[in-house]
Amino acid sequence: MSNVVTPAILHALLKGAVLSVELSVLTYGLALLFGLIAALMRRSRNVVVKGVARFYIELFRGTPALVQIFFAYFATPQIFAWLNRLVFEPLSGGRVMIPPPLSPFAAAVLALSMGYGAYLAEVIRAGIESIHKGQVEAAASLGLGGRDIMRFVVIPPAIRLMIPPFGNYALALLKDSSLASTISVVELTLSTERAISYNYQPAMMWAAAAVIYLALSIVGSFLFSYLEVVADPIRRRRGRPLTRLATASEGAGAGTGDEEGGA
Amino acid sequence: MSADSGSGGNGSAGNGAALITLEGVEKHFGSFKALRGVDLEVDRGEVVVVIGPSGSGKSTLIRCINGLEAHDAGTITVDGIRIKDTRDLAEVRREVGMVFQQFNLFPEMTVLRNVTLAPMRVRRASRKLAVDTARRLLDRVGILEQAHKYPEELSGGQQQRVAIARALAMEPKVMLFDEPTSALDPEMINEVLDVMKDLAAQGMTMIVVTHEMGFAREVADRVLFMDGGRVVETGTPEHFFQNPTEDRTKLFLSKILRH
Repeated sequence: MSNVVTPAILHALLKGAVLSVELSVLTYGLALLFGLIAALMRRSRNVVVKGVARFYIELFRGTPALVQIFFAYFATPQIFAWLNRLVFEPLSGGRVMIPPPLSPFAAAVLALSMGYGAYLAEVIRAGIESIHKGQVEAAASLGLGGRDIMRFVVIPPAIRLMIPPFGNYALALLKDSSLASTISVVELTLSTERAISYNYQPAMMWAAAAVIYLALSIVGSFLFSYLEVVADPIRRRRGRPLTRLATASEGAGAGTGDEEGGA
Repeated sequence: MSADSGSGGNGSAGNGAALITLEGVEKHFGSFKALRGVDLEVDRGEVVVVIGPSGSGKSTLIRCINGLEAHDAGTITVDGIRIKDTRDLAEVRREVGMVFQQFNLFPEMTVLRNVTLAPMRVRRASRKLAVDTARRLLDRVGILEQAHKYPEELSGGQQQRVAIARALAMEPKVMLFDEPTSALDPEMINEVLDVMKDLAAQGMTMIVVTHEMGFAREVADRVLFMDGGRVVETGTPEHFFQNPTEDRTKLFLSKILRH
């Protein structure tokens, strides 16, 4: 049994898990950025801007993540080469060229973040649009301008509504990060596969991989539950004794402001 | 306007002194005509109560006055500013407070923050000034001890009183009320009406869309009856409730005053 669970195998799994987390976190950050941009573009009054966002969202929601990853990794070198030959070389005399192909990690991050960005764009748009029209009218009738209405009245409650679907997509992304194994990113899934080729213990190793994914998911799930509490002013006040003390003393007339850190 | 002929219709004394003037205001939603040429003058300190069946255009009328709905024809002037382009709109909205049927408080903010937000952002009031004003107003509507709660922790009546304080914090020249008690449980209606009566007694100019006939009788300087997008009849409460001239008014009153 000595070759079944060696330190080297444990080390490989651990490294794989770390890379899965890195890949997921980086991808999710970019996906939020793409999603935000696409959501704002979709709300634009400009038909072209809106159309571009719509096209992006439909394209990436409507194609498999695996195809997107293969496209980013296998198709882009060829496309870059065409572009260099047909556009950049003639125009710049070979001085400006698109850099060499994407690394497997970069291709996976690019493809997955574009794909998840499309989903998150819809979450963000739905969140913004679900804010009751009356809130906006009340703010407008107080004389608040469009930017202030967004900042103070629309976005805070919208974010609160977005947190649960954000959590769903974060967990889905963590699991989809295993697709990067297909283009030789040695994340948890690929490192498990490789470990099995050393110890021939597929049952144990795949169970271990599953447990690690599950553990990471649970951590993520707790993180988003916590965010839900933080984003809800009433639960936040009840949940944290320090804050409760602070509001109690303010209520007694000690504080002037109602904002955090008011004193 | 043929129908706009009830007594007291020109109860606004000095012609140039009217705070709000509407002339031939029309509003269409697609093919539906919500307002078909409304003329109205409201003087400083006057309390006008607008009644009428649902779909008569009462809400649309007051929503046009602060530009929440853009009117399609005619002119609306508030304190000398004509509502047409958007730059004037922001200016008008600062002077016109509005209270909604559904309160529309901001759920993420404490009661106090709901009241201080607009003075701080729009009037550029200091935090201290805004908080002092807010506390005074919350005290006035009887809700100071709830200042650090969130809207959803309050009853409907309390929320509506906060909404009134929030509008008053901008020191408006006129207050518009769009069915302010229609979403309230019966036992909470009076606490809101009391605040409004108090406001009227202190000389606030008010336009109130409501089904509370007791309030109209007691507080209104003038009652306006609307039907089908027109002002059908207008007059003092005494005239209006005792000797209405128009048949449609009589019909409406007979329906709502029976029980």
